[in-house]
Amino acid sequence: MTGRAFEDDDVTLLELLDRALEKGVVLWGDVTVSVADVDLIYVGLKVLVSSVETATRMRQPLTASTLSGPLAGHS
Amino acid sequence: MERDEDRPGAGARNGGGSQGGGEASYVYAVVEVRDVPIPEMLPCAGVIGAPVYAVASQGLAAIVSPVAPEVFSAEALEAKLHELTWVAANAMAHQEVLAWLLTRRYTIAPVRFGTLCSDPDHVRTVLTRHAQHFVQTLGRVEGATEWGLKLSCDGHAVAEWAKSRNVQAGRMTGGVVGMSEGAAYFAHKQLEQRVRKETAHLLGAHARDLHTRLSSVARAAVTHPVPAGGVRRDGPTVLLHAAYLVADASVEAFHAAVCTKPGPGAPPGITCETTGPWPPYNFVNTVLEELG
Amino acid sequence: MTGWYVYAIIDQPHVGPLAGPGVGGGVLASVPYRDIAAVVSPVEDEEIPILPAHVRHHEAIVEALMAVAVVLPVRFGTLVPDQERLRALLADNYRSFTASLARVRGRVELGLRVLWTDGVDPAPPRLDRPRPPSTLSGREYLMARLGEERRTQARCQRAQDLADELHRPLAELVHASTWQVLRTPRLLLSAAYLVDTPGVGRVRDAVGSLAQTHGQLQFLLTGPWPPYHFVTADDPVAVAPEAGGARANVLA
Repeated sequence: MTGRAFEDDDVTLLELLDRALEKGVVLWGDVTVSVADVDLIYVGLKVLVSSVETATRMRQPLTASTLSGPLAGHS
Repeated sequence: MERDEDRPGAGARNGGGSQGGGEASYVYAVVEVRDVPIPEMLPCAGVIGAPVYAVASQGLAAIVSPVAPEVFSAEALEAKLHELTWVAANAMAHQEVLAWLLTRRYTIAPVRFGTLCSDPDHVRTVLTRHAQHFVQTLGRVEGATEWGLKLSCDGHAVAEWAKSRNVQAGRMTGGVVGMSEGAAYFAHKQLEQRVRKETAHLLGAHARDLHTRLSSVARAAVTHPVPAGGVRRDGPTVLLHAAYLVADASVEAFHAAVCTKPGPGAPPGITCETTGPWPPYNFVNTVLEELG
Repeated sequence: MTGWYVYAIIDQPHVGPLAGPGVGGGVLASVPYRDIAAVVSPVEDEEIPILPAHVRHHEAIVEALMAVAVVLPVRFGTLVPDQERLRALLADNYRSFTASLARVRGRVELGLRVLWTDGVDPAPPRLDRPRPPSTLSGREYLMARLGEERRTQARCQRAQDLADELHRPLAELVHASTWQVLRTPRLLLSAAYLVDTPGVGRVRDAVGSLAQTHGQLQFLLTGPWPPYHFVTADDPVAVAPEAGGARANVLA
């Protein structure tokens, strides 16, 4: 390394560093755990797209007041 | 018995589909009816305000509502998906029916929202033909509920924390002074990469530990894919998105495990959201179309 | 051997004999999973230092792979401890990788930087707020600061308008783009474009035209590059720069 920050023909190097160091596929860490492919039970001819399934899942979870028995109090 | 199916000519109808005119069965769930007899008509309103019935057969019951097939045809749904209020209202109605069953301690195999059986008789046929399969499936989820978990982190906060703990970072600030600009640039990049890798490993370990702990308390567990691309600097990153099948007796232990305070070595800025109890959507692996 | 250095994800389970050696001197190999693979080489070191020679070496291998396969370049310095872990990563990300490979098939990345020296002091602005010198009254200081703020905001707005003007003719020629406005006060636009390989010439000509009509700007078009900026379908939006008022967008 000379005293100057970069040589003139290192514009390409800078472009490369900007890509190879900051972008590209990241495989570090063990963030993903094993994934299971799950099918839901469904019957008949009509199957819905997943966005509606998401709408179903995003509904407020059952609150304590709708439960009785040992499940009450956990919401 | 089932009011609508008893109407004259009902058995002869060949299913609604896009031909219209017929009545289809909207299906909410299949339940086990061993100890607790199920009423023929449930005291709750179903989707589009339709009444809710139980179609029983050999210790099982399909929970259904009669609906006009056009309302839930693929084309109609395609259009309605854009009307979120319609979807939300009916998704809630669907969930309310399941909630009613859940609170009365029925073992439920929940069915995806918007599922129709074109021929009302087909429902009983499927129940009868595949009774053993259903019993097995229901046996797996008996006496348990599903709980969802989402673990996220604030990438920026974690990166700052990792940097502050990184030994080289401390050395860097002192050492840079003597370096040329170029060398300092590369040293800085090296440190950045180390910190990022370290951060990713720490977060991954934390997520894995939590999942292992919760899986040991649960009867079953599944994880959903999280977006690839590593920890984002500009927003929350989902580390773990999972569902756990927890036996009723273990629910308290499950919550205790979720709420365990992170140890002194854990990074800051990690949030954990749990939702539940849900009917066991993620633990009934059956595709009935394959069963025929 | 302490690990596997990963260069890229490719759209084939195997690739023909690869000209090595890899970074760290090991032999290049592919680790397949279904119909994709990771291209790797064994390394002894715990960490590969970030040095120009190593980064160029990494890039040379990625570019060589692009001649024989569809490639998602992996970030420099990626080490995976063992093949089981690598296969698990391929499995977990299979759908995402497959979608991204489809997106970049037959395409390359072009980079564009546009410098704007109009209305900016030759010396870059200090990032810390200047302390009021004792000769200025408090009010005079605030008025000066306010004037500075207004000029900065006006400049940001002009920058945004200019960037939109530059982007419009290019957007029609590219499949996807990601860009930042005013990442630094003089860097009006820094962008990456995903372009059909045969369309590279058209983009170059279009940038040439823009350079003609915008004499006060300096254009730097580089490439073709491996698609570093387009490896995930849900690319994160770029971080907002320090100099205020900027926007980054991804079009697909």
